[in-house]
Amino acid sequence: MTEHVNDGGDADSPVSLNADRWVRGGGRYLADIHLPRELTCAILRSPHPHAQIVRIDTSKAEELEGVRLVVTGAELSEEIVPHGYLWDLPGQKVGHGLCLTPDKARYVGDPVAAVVATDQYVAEDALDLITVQYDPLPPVNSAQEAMDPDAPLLHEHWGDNIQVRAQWPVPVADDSPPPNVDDALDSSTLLLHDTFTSSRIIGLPLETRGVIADCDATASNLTVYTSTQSIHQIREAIAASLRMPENQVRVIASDVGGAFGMKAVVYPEEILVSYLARRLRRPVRWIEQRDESFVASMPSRAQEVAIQIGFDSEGVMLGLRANTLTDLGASPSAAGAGTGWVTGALLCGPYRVPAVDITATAVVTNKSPLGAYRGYGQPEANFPMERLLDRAARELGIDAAELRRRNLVPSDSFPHPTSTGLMLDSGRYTELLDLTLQRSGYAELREYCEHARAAGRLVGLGLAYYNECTNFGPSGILPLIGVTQGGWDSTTVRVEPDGRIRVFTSQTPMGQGVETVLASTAADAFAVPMDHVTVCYGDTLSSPYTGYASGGSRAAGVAGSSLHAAADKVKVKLRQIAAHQLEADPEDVELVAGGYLVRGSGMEPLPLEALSAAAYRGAGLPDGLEPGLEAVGVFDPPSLAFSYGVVVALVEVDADDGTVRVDNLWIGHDCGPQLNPAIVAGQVVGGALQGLGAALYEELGYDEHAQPMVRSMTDYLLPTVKDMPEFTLLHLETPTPFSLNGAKGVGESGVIATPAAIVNAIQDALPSDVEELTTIPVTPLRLLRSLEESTVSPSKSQDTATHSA
Amino acid sequence: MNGQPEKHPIVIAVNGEKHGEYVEPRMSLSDFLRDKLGLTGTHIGCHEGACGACTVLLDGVSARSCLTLATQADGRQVDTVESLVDDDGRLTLLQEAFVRRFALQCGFCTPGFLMLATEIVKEAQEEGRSFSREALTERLSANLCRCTGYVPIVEAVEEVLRTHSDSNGGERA
Repeated sequence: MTEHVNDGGDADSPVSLNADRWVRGGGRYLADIHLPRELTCAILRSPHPHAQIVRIDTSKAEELEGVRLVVTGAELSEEIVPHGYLWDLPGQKVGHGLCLTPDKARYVGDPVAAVVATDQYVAEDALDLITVQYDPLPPVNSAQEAMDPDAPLLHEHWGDNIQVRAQWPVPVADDSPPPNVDDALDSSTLLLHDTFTSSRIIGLPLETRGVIADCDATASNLTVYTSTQSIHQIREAIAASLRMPENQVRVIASDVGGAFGMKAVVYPEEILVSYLARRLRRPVRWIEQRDESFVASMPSRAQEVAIQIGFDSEGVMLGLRANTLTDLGASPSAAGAGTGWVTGALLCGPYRVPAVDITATAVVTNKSPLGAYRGYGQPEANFPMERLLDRAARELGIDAAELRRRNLVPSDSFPHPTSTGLMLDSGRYTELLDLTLQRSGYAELREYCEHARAAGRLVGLGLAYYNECTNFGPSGILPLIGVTQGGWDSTTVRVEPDGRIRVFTSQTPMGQGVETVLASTAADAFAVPMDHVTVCYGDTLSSPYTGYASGGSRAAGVAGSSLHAAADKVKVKLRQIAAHQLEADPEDVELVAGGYLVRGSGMEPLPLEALSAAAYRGAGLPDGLEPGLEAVGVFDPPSLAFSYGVVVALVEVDADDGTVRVDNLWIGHDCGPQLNPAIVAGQVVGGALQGLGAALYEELGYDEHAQPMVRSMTDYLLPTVKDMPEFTLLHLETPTPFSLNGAKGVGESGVIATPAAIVNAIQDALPSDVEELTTIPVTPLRLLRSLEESTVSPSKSQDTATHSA
Repeated sequence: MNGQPEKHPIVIAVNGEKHGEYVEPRMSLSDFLRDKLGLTGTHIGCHEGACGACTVLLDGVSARSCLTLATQADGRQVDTVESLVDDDGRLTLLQEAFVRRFALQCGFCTPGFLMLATEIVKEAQEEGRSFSREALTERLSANLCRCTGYVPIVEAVEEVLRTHSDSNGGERA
């Protein structure tokens, strides 16, 4: 157990391999790359949410000086093959999958035409010269509307607007039938139900997306620079769409300025810009502009969960029924349908729920296509569960933390199969709850809040428990849940001729620090200083293969384990060479700091560089041993690993303006052994602040005409320094049995339960007759409306008196 | 449509070096720095003045280079993140504190925060201003970070402010 109180980190181990370069302005993000003879692409997007394209006139744009090419969707539909899907659930319907829509616009921002010109300024001028005649159609503006049998159809050949449905429990042949949920709910003492909404929000990395494609003079080899988490997925998609073999496509991710899941899967522009470069035989760049990012990049969440839970008189959950409804936007993206599936599969979170009946439905509407954002379905599951548990606690007169303790999976029950068919690997759920309550001073905080409220202040305490599905895999299971990529990862380890170490990872750094973690893992494996290790990444030419890539919080556990596997292979060889040179049995030779020696001999160790020199000269080796020191390690996790934790929030509401101040967040957390505690803390704290944004500010609203209300960062409120609460982090370290290093992921932990904890705290702060808060973000407007309906709201004078006291 | 807009001659002292160029009136200072001079340490996160990743010092005062036209900087001094290290490549205390305290994850907002914080530290150093936590967060709220949750950024700047108030010597790490 460790307690982290931001102390500036351990001076001995660098927390970021790249920080020194970045503080000098030496980053090399996508837009920093320029190629000789490059041209710039800009994209014309539909201003209508739903409209037939009648005619496009590009002649004036083509005449503008500096314009090299204008293309439309109808023209490209013959030349480009539709893209595939990372999440392809059974029975899932698909959209056109093309880069530019050929006939009909389905959302504001739908790509209609593209211009290639000498620079961004000219390309944007040219967009203004394209005239498109649209025949507007009535839009579908909400998921509820989409379900209406009389609703307009987005994809006529579907017959309705429903893309896919999934259900739990999943019927298993030759298995005893699952517990009946009706019986469970009928027998409960307390039956609660409500509908909860997680609004449409977006990961919004500060670096927008961008693509630069270059082809050789023969147009047969493509090099594509793109700001992505998943270089091999992008290579596969470009190759398939342009009918090229994969060995003629090279994809490079240079420094990635944040991703948060939003850059996890292929986008139309990656294929479009590659096509344009090949057609023009010149480099073509497209840098997403911030205003267009609000319609062109994938948002996430946008889900309603109608949930019903039955409790016995002691507050133990007996059964759960839920219907989730995901607003997918216009056309399913490569990742869209997965969010609703994850919400359904993980709705029970860290709790024992014996009987479930869950249906997840995803529908299309005339909005930008939905994709991934950190948490991916899990915050949407956590919010309804944790809100309803708080209500149950109040109605049963049981403390909110105690009610959770009675339902958490006990430590001796792992591995624990859930009612939705997943396996919770390991954990000490109740122990972490108790630790966090103790360290936060939970009982005293409850008293503090009551005193403050008695004095007229709206102060509240809330908590929420969560688990985080990490180490995404295994490959054998993924096809059964509709994922089309493998869940394994690979790493190449090479000891260079001078004894220095080069690690080639399949993972893509995007600020999560995977390069630093892998460097320290390799340094430990070979007992060398960390600056003897170089980590190479982000280039399909040299990076080992990964299918699912850098998502699902899988780098530390899955990629980290593959590094262990690779290092072990190289070390077997090193030991053989050392034994040969020391004239000893390999069993008697061991690795210590400084090299290999005969165990117990007291000799100076034989340094790594001496052994590697022999390996590369090919002389001085045991008979029959291959020269060289390089190995590929592969790891496919046997099962998922679940990190978990609890968030305690202390908030104060301003009754006059409806704003909420989050004063403190205590976060108890367990991701197994922390490979780099500073990075773990950074992930949890950074994620929690994104969760605060989701709880209070962020929303991509659409008006009644399906027009997006956010087209600028000034309309999309992000947390600033002023929103930073006081953080206290506590850790347990319970390894997973399902990775070689025991590590579980941490990337999404902070973002999952923070919204529910904050909203629980807000509800606690409000007068008891204020209706349940069921929608995030809890904006000042929503909060003031709730307060207006209360008859026991504290008066203004009382409030003022308290503040001046 | 006529051809390219007329270009104007400008001379800007960037990081102590004078640069003369002909630019379109609509060219932003950030595009000028990045595309004309190759100073790509100044990042563009929004092109609308909201995120602060493009913050530079214009005559010593922090400015959004995406909302400043290159022509507006004519005859003035601009300092970018590339100017912070000394001739031997040594980091400033601020840069060093950002590295050590892990005040960055993806690194994209970092140059903007460093330039903003450089201005704050300079005010503390040259004008003897002191910054409470509240005053500091007020100033730093001009820029956005999406990764760190801000905690280590604030702590790094506070550490440097403390160092300067403790002793006035030694600007380099």
